[in-house]
Amino acid sequence: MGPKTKAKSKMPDKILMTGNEAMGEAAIQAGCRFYAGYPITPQNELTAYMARRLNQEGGVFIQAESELAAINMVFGASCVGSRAMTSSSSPGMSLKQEGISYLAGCELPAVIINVMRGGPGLGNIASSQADYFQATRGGGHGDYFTPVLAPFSVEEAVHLTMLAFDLADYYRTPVLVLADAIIGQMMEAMSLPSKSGFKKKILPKNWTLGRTQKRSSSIVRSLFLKEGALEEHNERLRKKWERIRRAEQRSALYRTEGAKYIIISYGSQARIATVAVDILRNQNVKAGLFRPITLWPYPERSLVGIADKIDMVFVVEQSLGQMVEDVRLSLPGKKISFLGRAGGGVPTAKEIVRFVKSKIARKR
Amino acid sequence: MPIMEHKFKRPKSLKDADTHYCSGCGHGILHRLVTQAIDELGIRKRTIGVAPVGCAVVAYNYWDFDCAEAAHGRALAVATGMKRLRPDLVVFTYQGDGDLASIGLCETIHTANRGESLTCIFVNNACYGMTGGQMAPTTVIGQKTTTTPWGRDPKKGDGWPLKVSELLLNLEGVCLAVRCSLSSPKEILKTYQYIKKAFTNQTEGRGFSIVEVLSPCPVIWQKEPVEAMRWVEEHMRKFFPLGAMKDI
Amino acid sequence: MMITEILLSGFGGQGLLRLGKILAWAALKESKYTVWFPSYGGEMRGGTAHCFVKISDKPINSPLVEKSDIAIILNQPSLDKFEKTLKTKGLLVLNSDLVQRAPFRRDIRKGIYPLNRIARECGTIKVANTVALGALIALQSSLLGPETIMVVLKEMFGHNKKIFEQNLEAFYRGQKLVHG
Repeated sequence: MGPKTKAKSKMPDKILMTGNEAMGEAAIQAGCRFYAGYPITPQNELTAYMARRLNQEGGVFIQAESELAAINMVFGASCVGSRAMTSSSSPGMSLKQEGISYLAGCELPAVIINVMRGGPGLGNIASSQADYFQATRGGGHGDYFTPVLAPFSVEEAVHLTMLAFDLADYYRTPVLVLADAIIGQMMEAMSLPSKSGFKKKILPKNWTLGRTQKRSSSIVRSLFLKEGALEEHNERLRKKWERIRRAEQRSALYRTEGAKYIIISYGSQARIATVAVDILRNQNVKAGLFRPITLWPYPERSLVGIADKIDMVFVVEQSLGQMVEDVRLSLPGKKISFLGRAGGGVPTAKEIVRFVKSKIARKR
Repeated sequence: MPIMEHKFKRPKSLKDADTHYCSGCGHGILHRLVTQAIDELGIRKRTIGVAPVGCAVVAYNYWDFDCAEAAHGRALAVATGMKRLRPDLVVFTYQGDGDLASIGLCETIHTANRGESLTCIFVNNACYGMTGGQMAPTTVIGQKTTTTPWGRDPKKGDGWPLKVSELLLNLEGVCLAVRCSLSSPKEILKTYQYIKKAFTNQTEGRGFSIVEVLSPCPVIWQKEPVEAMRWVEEHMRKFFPLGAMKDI
Repeated sequence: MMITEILLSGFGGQGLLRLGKILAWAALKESKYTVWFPSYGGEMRGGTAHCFVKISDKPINSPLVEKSDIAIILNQPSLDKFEKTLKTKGLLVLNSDLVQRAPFRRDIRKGIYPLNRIARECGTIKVANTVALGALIALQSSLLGPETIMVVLKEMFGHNKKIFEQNLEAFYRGQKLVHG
């Protein structure tokens, strides 16, 4: 931890925190009072932060015996109405998928942070965006989706972690914050907002277990054996996913005014892509950046909205090509080029510039 | 003035419903014991039951208090989350041998070792019932199952019957580890006393309590109900001695 | 000054990550933009640990550093690894007590000092990082003001008088190495 005193003048309320610590503090500020986690790099600072802060706030911190236990402890915490969270990194997220599927099936709110690292298998601990498919396609078994929020700065990681809790409670669903090793480890200036900015009214939880008022017994379940019952349940869930799909698309633009070429990146890769955009603009190449903030639902509306004036689309990821599939689904018929590196490789600004210019030259 | 009084009533915690359990199955008796203990201790309105994956997965159809369903083996992790946030509640899990002693053994040991103030009812029927009779960790030596068609044989790598109560008794967090049986009225009454004890331990915050209950599974064992009860008595008890391993 | 990219590297335990944080906090205090990015693997436990700090007048986009303007290097493996990533005319602050050779580079500025020895004279070898900091601030006065650094040192170590005074002494001694 750094000094407590705040800086003066231009950044009056800013403090320095790493992404991991900042997401922990954001969770605390959002009212999270339960955290269970298991050690894995590069998100250990988040777990340690929760251990310290939840103790101060009178909440519950448990170092679980496994990722499976951690996500299922969160399941139990959510059953009794607490704002609850767990976090992990890629290999641990594979284990958590069981619990996420059950949370989705039982319609329990929870926040899960994935500070992505290289895979498959044990991979490495460098930054990666290779869990996009897993995150945006449910990840576990069964027909379900979870909202996925991808921060590109420490400050945005704070905003999105807070938003994740509000979305989770509002829609009664697990919500993923999909960060990466760069976002988790880097320290930069940020300020703590008091609210997530989510404007809808969150209803009190009258469905929780552990009676606080007079009522008949409640059950939290995802098993529906009676003929047709599960289909009915799934249909209800489908309507919920549709509602989220319509209402919760989020994205940001960078220098897209008059742009003919658009680079699409998210998370830490979007930071690097902005550098590429600046270089290209300096060389009179009309490039801009489209940055999805929600990866599910994919912000296709705003992407389609700007696509008319765009000649070529470049997707850059720290993966072998995952988000690019959503871009293809959103923009059928558009010329889409992909640049990606995996296993800890991070496409640099120079590589992006070279790639964009070579594709443009080839088209001419 | 009635000559006879109606004494044997259905506990309030037990719904007036026909169960899906097979004839001669132990779950019916055990449901009764658990719900009666909850009624008698007057904790129904602050109890949460966590159902396992296995035959008792829909126990909440028969229990009239708040219930949750856990993923296979994770009941004690779910219960831990609940109890830590709401120590005022009484939280118990009801798990079979596949759930608790195989896929969930890690959760079982660590929950017990943390000394979570929880009650765990462990139904040991020496097989996987719901999935059609595979070998369980508690399947006894020589017992035929769909996955040990010639009988469980440690020499073939099938392993030995896993003695869960013995495994847990050395853990500091455990205050009660006891093995009971449903094989006779006498043993059933003993089982009831220990279940009550396991709940009282929790309300008094004494630590982790596990009541292992040897229970018949006539259909999978391919025995008549009475014969199945005798099999518990004569075969299972050889591998699984009854009594309190730890009771402090 | 537009943007300064700084690499700090040494053995785990030499306090390079902490030194990077001191620079970042001082930058924030001077209302500059800053990003700190550590190495965070097994090398933290005894091997080579390093971090990068960026300090800028404008918002910082990429948090990553490919080539640095400044390198603070406290041991031989770090010199071997990072000497080549210093930009031409870049500044190298080197701990002569823990390297076996002089730098190859001739196109850079160098400040080579016995940081361990000076630190020991301040009371503990643990403040070698702060001696390096003093030298850095003296060599590159445009980076951050020494008063700002002292405010940060006070905030970080003020709760422990002895440690604070050792760091303060180390910071002075570091500056003196340059100014004489």
